[in-house]
Amino acid sequence: MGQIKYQLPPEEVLAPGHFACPGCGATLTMRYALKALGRKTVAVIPACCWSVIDGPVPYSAAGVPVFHTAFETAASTACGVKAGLDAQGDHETTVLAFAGDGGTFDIGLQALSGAAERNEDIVYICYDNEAYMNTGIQRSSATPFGAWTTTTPTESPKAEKKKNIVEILAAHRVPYIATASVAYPDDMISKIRKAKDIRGFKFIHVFSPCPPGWKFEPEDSIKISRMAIESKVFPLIEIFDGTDYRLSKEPEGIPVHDYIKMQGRFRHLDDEKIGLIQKNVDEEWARLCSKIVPAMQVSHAARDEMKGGRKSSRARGARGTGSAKKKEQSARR
Amino acid sequence: MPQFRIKNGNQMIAEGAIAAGCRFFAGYPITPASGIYKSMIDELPKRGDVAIGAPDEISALAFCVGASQRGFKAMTATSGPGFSLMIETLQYAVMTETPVVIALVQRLGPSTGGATQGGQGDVLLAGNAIGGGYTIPVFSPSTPLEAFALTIHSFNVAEQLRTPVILLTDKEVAMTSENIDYSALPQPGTVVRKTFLRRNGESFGNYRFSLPGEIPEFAPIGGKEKVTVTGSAHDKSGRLQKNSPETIEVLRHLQEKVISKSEEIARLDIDVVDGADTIIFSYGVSARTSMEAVAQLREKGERVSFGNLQTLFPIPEKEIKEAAGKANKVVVVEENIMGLYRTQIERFFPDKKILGVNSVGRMVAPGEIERAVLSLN
Repeated sequence: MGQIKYQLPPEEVLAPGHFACPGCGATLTMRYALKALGRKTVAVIPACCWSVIDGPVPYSAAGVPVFHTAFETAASTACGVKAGLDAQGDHETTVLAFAGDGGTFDIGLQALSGAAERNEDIVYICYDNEAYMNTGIQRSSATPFGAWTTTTPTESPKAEKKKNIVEILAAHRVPYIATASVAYPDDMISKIRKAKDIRGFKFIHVFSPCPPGWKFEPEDSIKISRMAIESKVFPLIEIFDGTDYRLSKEPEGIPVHDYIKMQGRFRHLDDEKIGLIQKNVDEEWARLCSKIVPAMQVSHAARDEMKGGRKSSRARGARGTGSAKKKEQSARR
Repeated sequence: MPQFRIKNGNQMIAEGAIAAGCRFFAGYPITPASGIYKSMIDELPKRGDVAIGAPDEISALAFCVGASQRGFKAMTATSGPGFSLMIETLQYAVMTETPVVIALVQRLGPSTGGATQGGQGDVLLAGNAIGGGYTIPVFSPSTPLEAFALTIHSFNVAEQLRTPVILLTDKEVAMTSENIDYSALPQPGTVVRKTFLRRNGESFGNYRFSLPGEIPEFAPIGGKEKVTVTGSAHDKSGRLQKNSPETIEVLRHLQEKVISKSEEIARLDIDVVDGADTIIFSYGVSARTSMEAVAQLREKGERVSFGNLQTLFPIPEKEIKEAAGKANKVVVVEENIMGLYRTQIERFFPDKKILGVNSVGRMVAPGEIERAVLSLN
């Protein structure tokens, strides 16, 4: 990606004065999401940090209507709102389900799967801070191997790998899935805009650092986000129709060690454990590449913009957001 | 010699559970109950026992029911929103006669309510969570020390009666730390469910009993006996039957086994004054403020008795009536708008003056109770 050139929409839909911690990835994610989606949006938020961040009476930072709903119901409630809008002839308003990893990977998975299977026309953004942060840092199925949380203490840190939510969604063959990071706001915004224009179910998985939960200084949020991408821990990709994988950003391939060492939640890990994490990241990366490469070889009118090859995929992300292409995407279904 | 340690109610519930022989815990994060989850995660694995994080509250209780049917003493902990999700499995535990303890730490409700705001609004939800009106025992501690003792008692009752038990506490009791004198920690005995031993010619039935109120003997699923565990209406062997006389007998038994032991399992802390004309009943954190009000009223020369209702269900009718005695005024103090538990006990006192002192979104202050009692004079 080299030089970062910000092209953020100037309007701030998210007002200052929210209740987030300094360096909160979830708050940046909402800021960018609302820049991308605009004010004609209904946000449906289950129990998560964002049910607090928006602010208590009389404050609401979000700048759009917020539907705080029960923990397990983000996707279902969003579908209900969407159906209501449709029935009343409003096909313009975007319905955004905005949930943490607990409400997405764990308790909300059933509702999410149902909405994806029905191909409901909503945007679902999961801000993944890799644990239940709002209740005091308990492990979720998004917590990575080896991480400390209050329920995976350092004597027995999390022994299981992180659940691959993107693969679960891909198996639903929904029109659009993307991963995004607060380190690349323009990439995130272009993906969320793309999602807005595609009809059917859209899932955006956002890597969302949490300074108090991961134990690092708030000013390092963006740095850690960037290192997650460069170390291949969190690749930036898009998946069309659950099968057509595209890489948004070629990682530099820095050692996972450098990413791990930035965070107190991994402080107890020795080199052997970090080696295991590196091995797992490499294997996952190889698996991902095996899905991306065949897609590169397919010639298809809708993929003209891919001619530049993998290296220029980032530029494709920036340019290839025209609504004509989106319509073609949805027409292919 | 006193040995003081600073502990909160959640920590003492975890310690009580371990003292009671709990070897399995499944939890899901929810304020203000997460401290129990955390304490069990810290303690159980060290002992070779199991504490796990569930993906939701439905799973948390179902985990426990599964473990209990293998013979483990099991517990989960939650608050109002999570408890709502557990109710199907709670009913299942009643129907399958599964011993299990649910620590329900109340917060302001309904729904999400206030995660960090106390409340006592789940009293009737806990007491009436079972379709058909079946009673499950509900115990309510007002201090961390009581939480310890009543957790052990909850496990004992669950095992003895093969029933789910709710340990109903609230945010203030659960999350406020106090000095606990460990040298004075109660050491009640622990009860283990009666297990089935094959006698000559006798076959096993998971729900078999002969006399009313008798508890069926337990055999672990996957063991020597063929065990059928079912939430469907069943006969004494667990065979699905909807309305055979034996099925109806089993359904009656589910209630009778609990109600017939009401007096035996009741725990109350009654402080009666001779010739009292007023009695205050309360539970949980409201019992704490009530105690303060009682002390102040007595200082002013008022003759006031006090009942700390550590048992809420089955309603300890006999004990409540006895405690009230000849007092002609009954005051019920609780942190919910409608005076929920008052509605359960006022029918015992058709000839007395009844008054509820209630608050919502905050604790009842001792001064409010004092003024209410004096206003009845």
